[in-house]
Amino acid sequence: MSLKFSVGESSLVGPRTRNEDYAGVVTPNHAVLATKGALIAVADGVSGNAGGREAAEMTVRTVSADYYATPDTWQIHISLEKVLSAANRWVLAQAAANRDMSGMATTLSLLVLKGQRYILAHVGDTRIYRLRNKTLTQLTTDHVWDRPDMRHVLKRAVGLDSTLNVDFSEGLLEVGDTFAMMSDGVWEPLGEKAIHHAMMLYDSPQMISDHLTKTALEKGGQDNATAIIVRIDEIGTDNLNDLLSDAQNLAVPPKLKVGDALDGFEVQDILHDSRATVLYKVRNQSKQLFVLKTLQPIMANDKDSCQALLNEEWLAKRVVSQCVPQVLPLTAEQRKHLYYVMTWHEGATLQQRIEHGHHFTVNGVAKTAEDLMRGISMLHRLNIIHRDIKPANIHIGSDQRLRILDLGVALNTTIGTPETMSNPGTPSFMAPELFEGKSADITTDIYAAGVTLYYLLTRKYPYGEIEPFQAPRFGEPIRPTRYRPDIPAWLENIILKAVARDSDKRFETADEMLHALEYGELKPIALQRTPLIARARLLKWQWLAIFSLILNFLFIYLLIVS
Amino acid sequence: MQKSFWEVGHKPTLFSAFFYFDLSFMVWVMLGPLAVQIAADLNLTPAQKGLMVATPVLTGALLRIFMGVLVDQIKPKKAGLVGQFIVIAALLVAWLHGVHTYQHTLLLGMFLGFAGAAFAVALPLASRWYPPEHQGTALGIAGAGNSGTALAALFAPGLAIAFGWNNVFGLALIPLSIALLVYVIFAKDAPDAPAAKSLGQYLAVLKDKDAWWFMFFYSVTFGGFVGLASSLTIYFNDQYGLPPVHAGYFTAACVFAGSLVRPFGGLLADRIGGIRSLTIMYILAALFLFILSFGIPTQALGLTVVILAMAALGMGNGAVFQLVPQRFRREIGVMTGLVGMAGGIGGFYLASSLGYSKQVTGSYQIGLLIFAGLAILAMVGLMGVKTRWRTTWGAATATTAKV
Repeated sequence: MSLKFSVGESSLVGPRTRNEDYAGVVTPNHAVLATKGALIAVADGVSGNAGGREAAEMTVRTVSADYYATPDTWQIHISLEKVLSAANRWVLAQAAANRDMSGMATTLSLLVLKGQRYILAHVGDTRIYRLRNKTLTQLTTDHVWDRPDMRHVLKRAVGLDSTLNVDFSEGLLEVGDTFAMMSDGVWEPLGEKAIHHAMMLYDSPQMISDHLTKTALEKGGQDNATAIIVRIDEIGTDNLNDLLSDAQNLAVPPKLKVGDALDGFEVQDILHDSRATVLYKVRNQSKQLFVLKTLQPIMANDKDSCQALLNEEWLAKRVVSQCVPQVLPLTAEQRKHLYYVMTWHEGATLQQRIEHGHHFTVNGVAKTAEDLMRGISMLHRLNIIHRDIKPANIHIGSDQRLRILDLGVALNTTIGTPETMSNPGTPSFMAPELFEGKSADITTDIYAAGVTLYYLLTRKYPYGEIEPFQAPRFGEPIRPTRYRPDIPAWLENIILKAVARDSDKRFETADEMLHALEYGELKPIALQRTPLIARARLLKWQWLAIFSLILNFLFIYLLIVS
Repeated sequence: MQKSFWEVGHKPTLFSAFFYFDLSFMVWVMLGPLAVQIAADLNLTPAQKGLMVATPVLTGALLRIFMGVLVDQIKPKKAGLVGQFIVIAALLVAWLHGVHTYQHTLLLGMFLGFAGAAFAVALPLASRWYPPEHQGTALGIAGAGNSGTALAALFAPGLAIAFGWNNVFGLALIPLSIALLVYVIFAKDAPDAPAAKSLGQYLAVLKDKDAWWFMFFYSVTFGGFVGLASSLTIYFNDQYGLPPVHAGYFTAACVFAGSLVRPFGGLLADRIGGIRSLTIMYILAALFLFILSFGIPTQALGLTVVILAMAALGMGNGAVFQLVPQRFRREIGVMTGLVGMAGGIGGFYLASSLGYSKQVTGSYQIGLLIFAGLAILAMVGLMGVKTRWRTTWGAATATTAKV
């Protein structure tokens, strides 16, 4: 079930000569509606000159176009913040460049409807009301000076200041919710009571909006009157299950052998055969090589795993980069089974190199580290947490390019909320806080990258190998130079900082770590030594104290007896 | 913040499940401690003795699957009632009618298997009340009912001397009835039960290589534990010429050691990893069984070695059951049944093989050595599992399920 809503809009000039209000409604098609949602905006331009209309119109137009150009993987409010600050800069620049537009600015109230929630962005004195179960709530606050003579002077607006401070809020939708977005030309003359009355009066959103603007002017409104009414008819879901529902009926292919063909792909080799997934190296009719990823036949009835594979494909498609294998677009006619296909690259994963006894030089690892951090940084910029960085998922091609594989457990807000129970991943590469049930974030990927580097250099883990289903205790990491004295101090410090037990002590971003790696010896980072008192936990000290107390009593006793 | 263990779940059910489980295990292995006296009266050969004590273990193992299905169909509480009535009826018949031939003992043993199958009832009954993060503790407490095997060894031989071994069956009815009463009053089915398991699910789980390995792992740890628990009275009687009561006490000590350390095995597995701790336990168990097989001259030393072997096996049990619910989250109900059955079969094998070993070669050495070999084999299997498990865990398969 996907989100369905109906819209009514009306904008009247009123007694003024120009309409400086601008309203925009974007109702995208099925696929975009599921990922980016619908966008509805009302703007009210200000300034005595001609610029008011300009500012309102251009802001709504750029925001509603640019919002849909932001990555699908971004969180909605992040995308909005980015495009709004760009619009703000544009309005400021125009006002500075053209004398007759100087001082132009606009209010903006904007609503994004997606799945089962709404996200609201707001600056200025346009308003958004919500009618739910016959109660009317104002969702926005007017950014005006709170003095009687200055009620029309905006504190915040697009184009007013070089930094734009936008109010964001979000909430869950309910069927029957009616949102009313309006300029001050409507709400001021009408008042809340009349708005409430009008919204209860009619059923059709168009009739409500017409009624609102008309009565606003009838009641003596002196400004342009604009109102948009949105009624929620059906709510969608917070994940991509709807969007990918066409593919959900695809059957999991049987286990294939070398030489078998599937939908025109001929199996050349079985690359990976794990509990849940199989990866085949395949060749298409034009002899190009690809990797085909599918589920084990035993997982065929596991709906969650099938959905996860589709999500993974969706996500992988969105990462257009040289740092990850690229997904081959397939039409519904081409694909008769559940799988997805990505580019194949000559080379080997770091794990395969380790198993073949490859010796990793310090310089080699430092270079790999830089490439790896660039890749991780790129994923993080797309709001994707990989969650399974490890040597087996890092591939060095024969073109010397590093590729990060397997977005199978990657975390992204668009795909859906993370499962709360347990954190997926490979135990030895999982940060301590993940075992306590905290959600994965940027620093847990950095931790995994740190363990990977540690492992490449020493074939050991900083906190020892962690088994699945273990609830490990993390002490102090063993310094990698203990296993391999030729590691320079700067690299050791970077690795130790990345694998710090406390997430606050790690690098904050992948770029920060990349920066440290790039400067390397030139600008070595200082590593804070953990004081002895913090190294052992409090309990240990308490036991030590009790033990020494007992020992003292014993000595006193012995002293007395002798 | 997660709620602590005592704030969630249903304590009356947990403890009545424990009580029921404990006493069921007591009667399940009661033929073991009585074996010396029964054998003397009925003129049984060592192999017959072995088979007699092994029969309830085998039927208990197989009935676990049956009871597992019953639990699914009619809920744990009713299934437990059915099991208890059958056991009480069987003991009543044995007591009133008497056990006169070797065949009779086997027949009684078969019905006592229902008591052994209490495992498949008590564990889901208790653990279904608990959220996933506390299931381990709940299973540990309910599972501590394993100590019931010690009660039998402690009391049965003494009572047999005082009242005659046939009357022990009647005396066992007293605590069983109390347990039944407690069970009827306090045990309650958890509000939400998982969907019933089909035969297809059992077969589906068996496609997983890990399932077979875990069945094998448990058949060594639990098989060793229960096999020894059933045979030790005979063993101490034979090896050191101890009177039955004395041998019973020795057995009880060993069984106590084995069942009390079980939760520690789980804790250890939690802390240092299940595979790591199981590996240690298999090495220790194999070592002590190996030493034992050469026949230890003094009683005290022999007792120590057996206790150590039992402790290693007991901790191994805990470690296996720390891993199974987490590895087989979705199939846990099916897997507890299968793993439990495998454990029982292991016990049947050990108990009967010790009897045959004695009859054919005149000593227990071969039987013990082969079992030590199995422990080594399990350790090798663990190596494979360890390598296979160095992979990504979780994702879609991590969704929770209940026993």
